[in-house]
Amino acid sequence: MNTNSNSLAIPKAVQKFLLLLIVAGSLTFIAGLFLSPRRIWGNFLITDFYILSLSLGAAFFVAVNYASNSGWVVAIRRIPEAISSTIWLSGIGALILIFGIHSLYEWSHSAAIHEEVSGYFKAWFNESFFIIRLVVYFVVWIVLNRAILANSNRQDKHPDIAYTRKNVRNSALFIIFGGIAFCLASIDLMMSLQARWYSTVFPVLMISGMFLSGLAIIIVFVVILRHIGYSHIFTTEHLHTLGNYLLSFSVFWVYLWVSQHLLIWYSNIPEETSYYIFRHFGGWGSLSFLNVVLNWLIPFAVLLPVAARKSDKIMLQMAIVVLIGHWLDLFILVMPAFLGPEPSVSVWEILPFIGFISLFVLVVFRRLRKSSLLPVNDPYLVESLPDSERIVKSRNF
Amino acid sequence: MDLFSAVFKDEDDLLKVTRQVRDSGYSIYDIYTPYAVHGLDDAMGLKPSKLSYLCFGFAFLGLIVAILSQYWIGSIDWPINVGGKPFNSLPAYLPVTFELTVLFGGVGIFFAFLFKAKLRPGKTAKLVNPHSTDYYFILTLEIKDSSFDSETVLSLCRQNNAVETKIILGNAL
Amino acid sequence: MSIYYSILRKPIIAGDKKLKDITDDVIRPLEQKPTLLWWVAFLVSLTVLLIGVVAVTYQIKVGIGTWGLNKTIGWAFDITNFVFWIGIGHAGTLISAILFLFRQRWRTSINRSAEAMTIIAVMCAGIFPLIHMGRPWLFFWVIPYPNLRGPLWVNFRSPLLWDFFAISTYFTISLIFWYLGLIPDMATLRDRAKSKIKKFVYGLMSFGWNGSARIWHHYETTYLLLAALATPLVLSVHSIVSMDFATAVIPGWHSTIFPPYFVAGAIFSGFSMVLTLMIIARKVLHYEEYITIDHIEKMCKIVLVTGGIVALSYGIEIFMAIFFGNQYERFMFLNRALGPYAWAFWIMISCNVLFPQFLWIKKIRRNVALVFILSIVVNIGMWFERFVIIVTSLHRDFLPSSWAMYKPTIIEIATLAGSFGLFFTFFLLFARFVPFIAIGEVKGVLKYGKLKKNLTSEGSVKANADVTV
Repeated sequence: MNTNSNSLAIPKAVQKFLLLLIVAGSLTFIAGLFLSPRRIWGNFLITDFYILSLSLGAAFFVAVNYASNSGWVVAIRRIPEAISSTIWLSGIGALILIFGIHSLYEWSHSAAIHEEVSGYFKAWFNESFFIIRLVVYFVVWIVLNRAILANSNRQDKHPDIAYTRKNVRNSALFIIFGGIAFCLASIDLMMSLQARWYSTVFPVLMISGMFLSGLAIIIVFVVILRHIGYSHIFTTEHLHTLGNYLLSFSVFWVYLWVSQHLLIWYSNIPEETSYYIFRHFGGWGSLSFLNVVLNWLIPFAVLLPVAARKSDKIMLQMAIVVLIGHWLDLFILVMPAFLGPEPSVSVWEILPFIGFISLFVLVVFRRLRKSSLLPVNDPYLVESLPDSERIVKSRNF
Repeated sequence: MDLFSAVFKDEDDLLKVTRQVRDSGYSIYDIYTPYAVHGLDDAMGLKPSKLSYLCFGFAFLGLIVAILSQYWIGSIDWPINVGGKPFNSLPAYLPVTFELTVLFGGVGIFFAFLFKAKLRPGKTAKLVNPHSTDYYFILTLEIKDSSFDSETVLSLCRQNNAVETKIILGNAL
Repeated sequence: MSIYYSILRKPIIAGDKKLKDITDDVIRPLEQKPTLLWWVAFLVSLTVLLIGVVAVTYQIKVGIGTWGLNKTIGWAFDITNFVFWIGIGHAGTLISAILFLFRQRWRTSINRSAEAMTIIAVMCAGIFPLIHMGRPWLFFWVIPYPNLRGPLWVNFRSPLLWDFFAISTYFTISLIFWYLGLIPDMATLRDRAKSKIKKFVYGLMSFGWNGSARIWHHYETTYLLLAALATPLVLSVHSIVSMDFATAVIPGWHSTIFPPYFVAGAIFSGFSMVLTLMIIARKVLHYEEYITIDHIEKMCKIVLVTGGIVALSYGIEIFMAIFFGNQYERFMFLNRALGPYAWAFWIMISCNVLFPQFLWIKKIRRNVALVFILSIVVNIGMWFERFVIIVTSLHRDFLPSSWAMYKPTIIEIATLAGSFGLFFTFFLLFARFVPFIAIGEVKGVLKYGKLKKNLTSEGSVKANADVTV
């Protein structure tokens, strides 16, 4: 009765198209290494961190819902689970990134910065320790996430509450250690790009962006699956709750964004304003404004009425707006250092990014096929199903 | 207008009977419950409350009032240079703007609700049954004309464990 | 039942209660004569409050010079107490609004009293800036109105003014939210009351409520909207309080993480205070079946989570001070941990970071006595957190010649004690005259988690292998 795979498939044509994009992206990346290395490394950092945000966002989503024993999510949980299983993709990206450290981070090659930024900066920011840390972060995420996914899948075969209990524990561990790792990773990968600047809320802001984009990609997949014939188990109610999450995390993101911006603007300390001066005027200024519009204003204004949060079309649109917004957020964060005072977008920005995204989508779909689309033996499943699907069956829990 | 009323002891009975009488075409005058029964508005066929639009309106008004007044005070009526900040310091105006938005929305919706529900301090409550705010659920139906089929209603109510039924002559509510 | 729940869900209300039992149980303390214990507690609180009143009168008459402040340390005890109380005042609205939005049904047993606690704590907090003004009778100068002084407007760029708006909005919305929840219960009291006076008072306060489903329908929408408004409001209030410090350029105060970190700290301390009060109340008022061990365990988990966020914030601040460039910032943190106020710093760390970790152990979470002790420990720790942030950031100035120490005077301590007196006096009055538990809301969750036996006999942990996937 319980099959461990399903008939979900993407059409061959789409598959081929995605493969084509992957090849094109990889070729552009390789070409970029020779033609415009600094710019291509900057973009690769954005892309890799972006993919990491999506998979970690979904992983945190799964963990938070396990840890809080929520019932509503269970029927759609296989979707975030599949997305979260792709952390290894950005892990490989991070390994490639190691070759770009010199192009990306000033601290890796300039002695001046170590003289200027006194203290223990060098103890933390040196190449070997940086690489070790990167590896440790990914090991923490992947190991704990795999443990959660494995238990969830095992429960399909053996109806046992013990798996749920184990996963509550694993999820708590994932939230703590994965969270700390992400804080440090965002400091390492992103904040250290401009090592003279620091902001204590920065890691938290990155967490909110990560979770927000994770929610958006979950919504995209839910809507796609509803569209191709699974709307009887992925219901409007699920969409509605996801919409509530998207709305509130969009507000949470802007709250943190404003906190950082307002406090730095208000105090006006040169060490801190150096970051915003660059992003406040001209083309970057407009992009910063657009960033807030995409990540907060549009989703907030559109999703405020309940009806919008129940509509497939509007939810998909908003999820895509947020996904574009998250890319822009990272673009504004990383690229001023590589592009100078005026922003521009070229093939270096677009093709490698699209290529990596296509790979990500392919991998997620592959994973979705591997296990049942419904965690059939989860003790909370009953709270998540629509009335029509709640078939009474006795089970030996 | 006369009313038919029936008393129930359990929310599940009430929900069931409400759906049944509505399906049989009776018009429900009102239902009195000691707490908000989940799903009752659905069973009665009530439309979603429009109060949320009002709330949005109030909140938006608060937003506009806050931004305009701070702008007018800070940069037109009495501009003062504070810490070299521009006269129109939008980031610094955000906190107060937010607070006033919430204040207007919250206070507005509270009074809008009282107005809509016709509640006010000192109003005398009209009760069908003295225990309807404690442990009884009371269904009241309108008896519009002689076509009111009291036999069917009675049997529906009895099937669903009604404790007591009666007819209230002349609407005392 | 139209609501389905997993077999793992436990009933929220223990014992086999009927609707009428709930009303009886909750109202019993209100209908009886006050117990001796109540009188003793009330008189003690009132005495402490009177001591506070004397202290406040004295310092208003003589001036703020009665405090231990000096040229270097211009903010200390007073603002510490203010932030402490505001923090306490965050749990109530969190329980009623955020837990409501997250559909946490167990909140119904504690929301009424936690909201009352919030309102009282905000009043306690409000006293301190009022006294700090020096001339409290001119407090209305913070209200922007076309006055006869120019009109001279208030400065909207000042975080202290933001505070005024934030706290008065928070107080108003909390009060409305609390009262909205109270209306149906007041009607219940009215219809049970025997004496004429009670009937009249409760009748006045219940606004003519008769439990009409059409009104309930609007009521629920209003409740939801207020919850949706109150949720960001809770976040904003302590964020704005944190900006009193974070907009400054003082190392140790100016930190961009302050807004979310203060909010987490506020919920952390607020929930600890709720735990303290609930553990006493469930015992004294015999509410063990309503505020169960499961409730306490859930609250412990929230304390654990928010405590974790607070610990993470400490960690991030110290990390950035050590590894990033700012030497002033680094000195300030070393001074906090090793300087003359190190004792306060380590009290803070042990109470807020170390001891709460015991809550990871399920046995401790379900041990009422230990949880009680831990909740008080956290309260102490959170008071010291504010003290450490405020005083240690100031006392060693940029100029070593102006370095100074701060010690509270007896007047300041009496004022703090007085605020506790006010808090407990009002809370005891609340427990005496208002239903401690939201009767209507508890009735709504009575059946939750209870139909287990029925369901399984029908064969019905409704898993669903037949879903066509």
